[in-house]
Amino acid sequence: MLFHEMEASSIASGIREGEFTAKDVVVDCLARMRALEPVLNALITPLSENALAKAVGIDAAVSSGKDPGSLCGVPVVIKDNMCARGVRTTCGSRILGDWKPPYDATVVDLLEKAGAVVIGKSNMDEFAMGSSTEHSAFGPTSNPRDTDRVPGGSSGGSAASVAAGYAPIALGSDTGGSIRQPAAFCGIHGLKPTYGLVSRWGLVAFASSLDQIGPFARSVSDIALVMDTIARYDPRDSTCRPGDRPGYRESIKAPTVRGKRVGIVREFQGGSLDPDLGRSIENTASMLASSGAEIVDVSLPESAAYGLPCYYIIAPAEASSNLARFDGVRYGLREDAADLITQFIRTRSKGFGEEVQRRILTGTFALSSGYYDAYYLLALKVRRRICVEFADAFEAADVILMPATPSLPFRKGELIDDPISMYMSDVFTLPVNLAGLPGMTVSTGMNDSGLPLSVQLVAPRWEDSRLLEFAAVIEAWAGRPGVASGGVL
Amino acid sequence: MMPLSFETVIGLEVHVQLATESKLFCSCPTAYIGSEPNTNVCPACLGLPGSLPSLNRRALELGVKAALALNCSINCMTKFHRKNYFYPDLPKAFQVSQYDVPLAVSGSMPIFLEGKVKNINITRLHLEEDAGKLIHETADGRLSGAAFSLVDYNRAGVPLAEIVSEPELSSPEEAREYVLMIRRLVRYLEVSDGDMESGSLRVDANISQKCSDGRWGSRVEIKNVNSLRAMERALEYETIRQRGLLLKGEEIVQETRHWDDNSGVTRSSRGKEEAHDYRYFPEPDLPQIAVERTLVENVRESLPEPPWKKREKFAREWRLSPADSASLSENLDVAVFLENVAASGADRQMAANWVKTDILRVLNETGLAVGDLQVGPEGLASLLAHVEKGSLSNTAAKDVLDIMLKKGIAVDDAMKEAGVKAGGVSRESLLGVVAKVLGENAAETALLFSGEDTSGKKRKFLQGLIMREIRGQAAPEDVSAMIDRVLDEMKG
Amino acid sequence: MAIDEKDVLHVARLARLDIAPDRIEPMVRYFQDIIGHFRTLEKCDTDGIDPFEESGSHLCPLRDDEPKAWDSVLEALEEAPLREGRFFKVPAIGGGGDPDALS
Ligand SMILES: [Mg+2]
Ligand SMILES: [Zn+2]
Repeated sequence: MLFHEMEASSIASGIREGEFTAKDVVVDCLARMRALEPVLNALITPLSENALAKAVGIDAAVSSGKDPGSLCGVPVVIKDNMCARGVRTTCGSRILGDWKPPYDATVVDLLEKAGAVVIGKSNMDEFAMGSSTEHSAFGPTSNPRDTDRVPGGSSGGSAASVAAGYAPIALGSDTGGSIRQPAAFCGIHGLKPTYGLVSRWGLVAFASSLDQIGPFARSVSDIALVMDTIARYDPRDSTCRPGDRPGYRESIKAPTVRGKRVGIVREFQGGSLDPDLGRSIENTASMLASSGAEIVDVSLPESAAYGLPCYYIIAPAEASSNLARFDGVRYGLREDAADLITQFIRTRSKGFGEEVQRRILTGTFALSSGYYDAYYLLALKVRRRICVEFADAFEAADVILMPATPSLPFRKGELIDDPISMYMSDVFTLPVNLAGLPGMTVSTGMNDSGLPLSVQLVAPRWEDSRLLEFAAVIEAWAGRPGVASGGVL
Repeated sequence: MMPLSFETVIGLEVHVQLATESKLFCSCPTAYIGSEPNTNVCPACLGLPGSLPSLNRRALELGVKAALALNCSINCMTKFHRKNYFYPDLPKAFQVSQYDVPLAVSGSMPIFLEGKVKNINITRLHLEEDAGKLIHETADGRLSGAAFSLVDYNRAGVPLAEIVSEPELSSPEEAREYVLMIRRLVRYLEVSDGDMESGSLRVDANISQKCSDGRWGSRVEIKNVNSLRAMERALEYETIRQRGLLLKGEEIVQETRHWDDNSGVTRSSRGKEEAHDYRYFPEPDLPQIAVERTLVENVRESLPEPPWKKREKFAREWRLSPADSASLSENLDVAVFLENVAASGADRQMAANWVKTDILRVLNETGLAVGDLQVGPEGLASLLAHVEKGSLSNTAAKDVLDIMLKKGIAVDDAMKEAGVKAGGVSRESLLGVVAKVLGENAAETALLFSGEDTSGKKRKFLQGLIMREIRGQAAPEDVSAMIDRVLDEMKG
Repeated sequence: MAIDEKDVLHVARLARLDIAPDRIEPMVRYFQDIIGHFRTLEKCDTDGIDPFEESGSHLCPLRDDEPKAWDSVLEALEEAPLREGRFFKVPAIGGGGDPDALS
């Protein structure tokens, strides 16, 4: 049986029902991983032995009549910026050395408590700064749909792992599009939840006010399954909203868009948008209209004009502070020096890659004396305008339908020396982070050259289940994405 | 030409360690003194990647308490900022502190100096986390010359309230009185133990000089003053240094200087090019904090009268001497004890005398707190009632108090133990009895009167008769004193 | 506003980073480019906007003051690149550090 092509929910129920074992599943997924990893480099740290041991434990629990949980025996891949106790966590950087966190991220804990089996920590742009997974100290990841191309980033390793069938689900983090852009590039689904829905405890911070953890999967129902597991209040994250979350699987039992208003963003159509991706929006809109939704025009002029510079002030500013702790004193890399300040400078200059250094410098500048008001504070004000603009748009529309990325997956090396053009990859995703909204990339099949097509759905805060309902309708029409060949046939 | 004169202008930043059980942003215990290094630590206060802060409600309450006592306005919406700088005792390379919306602003506090009261305005009170501790690994423990430093993060994240005064203190003595009053206050409020030696109260001083020719010297910040004495010496040193420069027509460099307690000088602590740039920005991991009305009102209700109010009350209403007013208001427990003694019927001055001498002495000798004493305010008041009635002499009362303190028994029982019976004769009836007995025994009295009773036998005889008459209900020395008084009256 | 080499090196100093000599010029150009993008924000009408008005987001939760010891301290200490007993160890502070205690 090709377990690596199955949905997480079928895997969990099959193991529970005794149709097959967790070990069968993990062995198959690990075989898939071993076959493709030399080409893809999607993982920084494969955890084959841990995974097998965990699977055996799950099988023992099942045979003794226990229910290990809703993700019983399901292989998962975790982006390597989430702490798993005792497992090397690198953030795609040299600066963490062989750091083994002495604690678990809340999401890792929740997944494992639900019976999931972590099979690897995935490759990523260093500290989640990038849109191609080429900025990793552990080498670039390839796109399993076309290995000459990038998988997107920064959660490219997680997206590639799911697209290639290492695991049916993976976790990524999304600060400006780092789940939705690689999901689009790898032809799978990816959800960035509302800011504050999922705990960030144990997620190594890039930009605290923007970061959010979310799932990748090849089916909407698997996205919902993961959300039912990880969307919990956590008092250890003060930005995590207290209270219960709705049942996400429940919200897609009988999905309908009838009577709902779908907003198409005028500013985001045409222009430099790839024509295939433009058509994907149009086709999706027609389908939704014929399913009973009303298509309306919405306008997000300030998000379009100011989103990018606003983001590229706020995110680096927060990052410059979040990344200051890497100084060689408590953990990670330490470059020897006779005096302390030289240790700090040597350690940081050697440990951080070029893009990370660039952003630390940009953020330090934006916060520095004399520039704070002109850049950082101004960006915060513009951010408020963007929030208000989205809120106004949601007066007219229940959901916004827009592109996830301006282009199809680009070729490796194409943008590596042009950081600002690389930043443009996130032009449609980062306004959603600035406004703290939930956004989801839904796969809509392939173009004529076999490259993945997608749309992005955006909903008001805490309406993540509305996104899933729309996504389920789109998936029923466009079909569930299959497992990519990964260049190995 | 008129000689130049100067005014010293001092503002203080006092860091008060708040008496919480757990740290400001994590649940680690705050009891770091005597702990092995790096035991009270966790991912948050070690600044491990991925860790996040969660705010301690009690720290907020204690901050509000101090702020209300200082007559500050509380900001009902407050927030935290990050203050960014690299230093190994700062595990995240930023300190979570407050910036443009501190917990409280615009307060004031009086200080007393040379019989005068001066009101000092408080700019702000804000909360922040403490840093860890650095130990410099050289034989003499000094910073310079050490090859390595050792870092202990047990203290990192302990909550501090930073109280910033307006620059309204005009001498090192005033600065001292200000710090002492803050210390008294935080102890009254039980928001901190206020102990300077152990570092739970730390002071940074800003000092500048205003010259009579209109020049203003730049402000200099002095750090590393670890005791009141060090602060005074550092301020005195700086006053002289700055005035000397101004007299020579030189500029004062605006800078931070470190006090060197051994050599008694301040030293510039940084090169000019290494300017301050803390890149403050709002802490994105902590949403805004609503300081709820009910929290503020609950805290307000729990506030004791502040030390300066007690002191003024003792001086003005109770008419105690300035020295007694000061010493009896030093400690809240003692002041309240005294008030309760008076409230139980004792004369205020008498109560003050007894508390000041006898109670404080016992506290000093035993190291006990007022609450640990075997005698409560009512007990002392009932003892003093005997003294006031004259049924107990001062000396006898002190013996009785000793017994009460030792055995924790009521005044009547203690009097029995001391051999003094309850309901003893009043001074008046004793006088009557003495006069009567002396009158009835004229021969013996005459010998006493003429000073011929050299052996004291006759006096003893008379005293015995009197004691029999009053059934032993007065101290022998009181009886003896009364005999002398009657003899004196006879002398006319 | 023109950013020059001096500004970039100042920022690098603040960030405790060292820019290799051959990377300085490209970094200055990058700064000039990115600041050009930043300046488009000046066209946005932000009059009267309170950047801290947080509509839709929640207030800071408060934790009870209950001390709890963490059971994995030794694992954390094991990660120290340089250690002496239970202490983290660092080279001498030396010139150019920020010797300020808290203020
Ligand atoms: Mg401070
Ligand atoms: Zn802690």
